[in-house]
Amino acid sequence: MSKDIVITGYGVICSIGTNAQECLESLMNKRSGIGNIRYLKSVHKDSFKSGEVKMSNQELAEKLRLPSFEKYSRTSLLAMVAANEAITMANQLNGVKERTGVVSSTTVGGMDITENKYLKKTADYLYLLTHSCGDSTKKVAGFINATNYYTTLNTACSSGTNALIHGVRLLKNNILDRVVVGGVDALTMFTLNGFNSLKILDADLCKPFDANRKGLNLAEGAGFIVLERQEKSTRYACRVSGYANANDAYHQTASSPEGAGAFLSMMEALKMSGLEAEDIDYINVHGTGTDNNDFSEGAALNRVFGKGKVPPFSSTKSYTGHTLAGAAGIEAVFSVLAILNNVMYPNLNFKDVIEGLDLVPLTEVVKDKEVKNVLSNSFGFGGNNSTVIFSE
Amino acid sequence: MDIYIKSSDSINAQLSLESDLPTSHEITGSAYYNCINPDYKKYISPKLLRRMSPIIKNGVACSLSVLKKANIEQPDAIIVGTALGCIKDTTGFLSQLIQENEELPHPTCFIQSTHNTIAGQLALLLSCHQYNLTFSQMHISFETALLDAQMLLFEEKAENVLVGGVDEMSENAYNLINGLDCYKNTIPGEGAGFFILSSEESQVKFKGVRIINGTEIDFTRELSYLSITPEDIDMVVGGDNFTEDKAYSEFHKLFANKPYLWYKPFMGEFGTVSSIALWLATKVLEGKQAPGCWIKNGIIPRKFSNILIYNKVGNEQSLMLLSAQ
Repeated sequence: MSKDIVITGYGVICSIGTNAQECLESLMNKRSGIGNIRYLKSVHKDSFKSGEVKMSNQELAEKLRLPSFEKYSRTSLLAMVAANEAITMANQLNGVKERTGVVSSTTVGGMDITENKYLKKTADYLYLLTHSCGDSTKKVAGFINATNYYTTLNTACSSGTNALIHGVRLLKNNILDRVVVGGVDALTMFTLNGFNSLKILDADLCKPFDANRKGLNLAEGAGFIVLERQEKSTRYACRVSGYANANDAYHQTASSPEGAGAFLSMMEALKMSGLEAEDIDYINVHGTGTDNNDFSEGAALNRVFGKGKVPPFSSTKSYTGHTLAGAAGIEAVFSVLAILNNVMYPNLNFKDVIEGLDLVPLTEVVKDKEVKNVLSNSFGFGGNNSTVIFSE
Repeated sequence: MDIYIKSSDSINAQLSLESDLPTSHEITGSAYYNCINPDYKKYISPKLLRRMSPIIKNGVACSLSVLKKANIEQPDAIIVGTALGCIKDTTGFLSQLIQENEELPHPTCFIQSTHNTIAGQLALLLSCHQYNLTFSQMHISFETALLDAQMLLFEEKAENVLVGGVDEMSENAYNLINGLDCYKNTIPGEGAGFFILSSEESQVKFKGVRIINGTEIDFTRELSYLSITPEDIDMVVGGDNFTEDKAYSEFHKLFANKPYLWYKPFMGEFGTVSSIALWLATKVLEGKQAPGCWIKNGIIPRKFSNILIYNKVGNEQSLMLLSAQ
């Protein structure tokens, strides 16, 4: 049953590129997108590096050929760019499908507009129209003509994979024929200060899975993939072979030291895929670069695959920064690209192994190995842990 | 496969947990409704309570009540719908940032500002490692959560799913939403409605949910998807906010000769208020009675088999159908 969901399109925009091809080139050339903050208004803009999309709202709107940009949150604009790339590809591959929907995800919705209006204390409360998580999804659905069904998930930084899971199940239950799934978040003063108040931001470049990691680089972006049932779509990029959602049930923001939830979500996804642990060729880890996440996720990897037997892995957040709900969508696209091009991406800024874990991520691009099965992890506040496996 | 509502409960502007349907309504005359607080300490330890915002308290207490009623220690899944999420902590953190020019804000509001805090807290309290999701799509947040729960049961991935809708209202939040079109001529409100959706047989059958994104609706066609005709509906629950609510005129006309229940004038309008409608309909089917104060058109209900719930706000519409066993 799990073998019949296929990916027929993908689209992405983040700090390393405004489409899938640009992102792939950056990944292959070890070109990180993390740098100084240019567009975000915050007193901390010079204190932290971040993965900002290198386009203004006006430029994003022009890219989308929208008559104006003021009514759109940055979140909506980013989501529209990525979702449009994805659906255009699917339409070219298999034609337009009647029952098409969107399942998106975001953690702070249109907060970029909300905080600016809040700052100015204007009486223009209409900004609440763009504040809700659902606003960007509704805009995407309208823009790409996929209004048959739409909804939004918010399970913090694991959101994108949960959107994928809900989407897969809408297909399996024959509610839709095609669904665009993924996630988005724009860089905001709200989240920058939030993560800063938790003291988990690295002022310099993040170093996922390194012994001296200091925290994450906050970032923005969107990633969407198009899912269909294989029986109806003979042309596709790869399959979704397994997925799982579990809860760590340990702490509101911290992960358990043994990675209980991460272990469960990886094990269940593997079980569903029918694959053995050694069949996994590459793991795109959650790897935020925080002390807590990388240790917990590493412990879970060792438990699932066995110490010394963990497949090649890397955190592409060392390129993109942490895009919150955007992360799982973007990393789903990177996983699909890994399978299509038989490539594995390095984990930038890695030097020293975390004591006790003995896990060494890929540090160079790998081009000479077949990549058939990719496992991608996404974890979030609230103990939400999700895993998806993409297969050739 | 048949799906049932094993237990249900609600916290709202008229009553609190473990109550029967009221036979009269309080209309306070204030600009917005707040919930009648239950005795939270019955469900949540005082230490935890102190840190919880109203939405977390209400979502958690209401969930624990339905679990208790169904005699379930751990559900197979926790699925929450919330339109605006933890708006009090969100505006709290934002105000702090602006007042103190982004200097050293306290992380508590930020930590508790994410929409999945309610489902996350439930997982923590119940040590529940199972499937855990939070949906947020304005006025269909609860309905998409319900659809996800229904799919889980169809897939036989779960036997008992905890699913509900919850939103909160505060002065800050009221000031924010007050100007919006969809709240014109309404009394904004807050509340929670939670359910155990189960594959195990009980008194009330959940026949399904239809979600329509758009301003138009073909009721007969939508009902055919739920395998029922308008004639077989015994009673309807409408989401009108006032007597001549034009958004509901077609629905009114179609069911002009059926008992018509309404609730928003007494419960308020909010993104997940349809969870309260589902609770109300469940209570009516369980008790085989609908107190007169809920009936808008004066028609006395005689049959208690099929109740249809309709909600429409802007271009987000939904239908939910319940049947008595």
